[in-house]
Amino acid sequence: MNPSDQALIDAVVKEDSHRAFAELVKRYQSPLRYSLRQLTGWNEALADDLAQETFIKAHSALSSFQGKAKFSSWLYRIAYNLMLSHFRVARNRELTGGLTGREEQSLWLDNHHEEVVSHESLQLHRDLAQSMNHLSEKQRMALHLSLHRECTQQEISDIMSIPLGTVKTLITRGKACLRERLADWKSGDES
Amino acid sequence: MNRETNTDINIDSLFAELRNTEPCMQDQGFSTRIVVELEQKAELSFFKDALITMLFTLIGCLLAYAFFPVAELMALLPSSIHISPMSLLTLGGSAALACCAAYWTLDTDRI
Repeated sequence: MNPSDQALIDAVVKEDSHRAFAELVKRYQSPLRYSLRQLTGWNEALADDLAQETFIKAHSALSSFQGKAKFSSWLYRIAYNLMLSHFRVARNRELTGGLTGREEQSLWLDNHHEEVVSHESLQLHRDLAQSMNHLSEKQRMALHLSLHRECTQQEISDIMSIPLGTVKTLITRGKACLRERLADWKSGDES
Repeated sequence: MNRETNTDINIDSLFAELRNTEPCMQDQGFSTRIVVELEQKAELSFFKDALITMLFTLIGCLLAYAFFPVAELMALLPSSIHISPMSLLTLGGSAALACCAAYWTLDTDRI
């Protein structure tokens, strides 16, 4: 029988068990890495780096996890804050003349062109991630959590530390922007 | 993504499709890399860290003592101070401000 998340968390906190933590990582790495790919315009390297950082930060803060929210929500909260600070740093770098986030991403896509072509089945996921990349980070996160992860608005509000009303606005505006984006893209495809 | 033929794109059904076809990311050493990094971090234990900090502080103090005119600086210190009610209020106010700033910093430094 698989131990519960709470049992694994207790083992990490009380016995500093790396095995228990590795088990938690194995359980949550796939959805977290996927979500981060969706939120970073399918930049696999960046998403994996952020996921790794998320788990390392989660390990050091695990004793503060009170079990009030789901472990996955807690992880998303850490990942979201890391992602925001990554993009903040990237924007600052952009101002000081470094590579922009989008340039970094297109450079990454150029370097990984063969891989992109060989994974046709992932095209839909990748396309949507790239369309979502034109929304703000907050809209992306709110839309992803709401429509893909099916989180409640209260859960999203807790994860993103924003009021419930703001969550609703982000989702409504995000959907409208994405719809517009996809319509433009589709009309571009048809012409 | 050229499956849609009508002009109105249904975002909800698009996400439902993504949800149903979400790829399972293979671990491929991802969890191992994290555990290795955690072990490397743990190697520098709290006591080692404290010992290194104390050692360098001691070296710094010795260097400061050797290079700075400590006796002359000590002579500059006033031999007595007069505490007025105003200076006590200023001190108390500054302490309260510092506590508020520390609380705010800790409260906003969310993970």
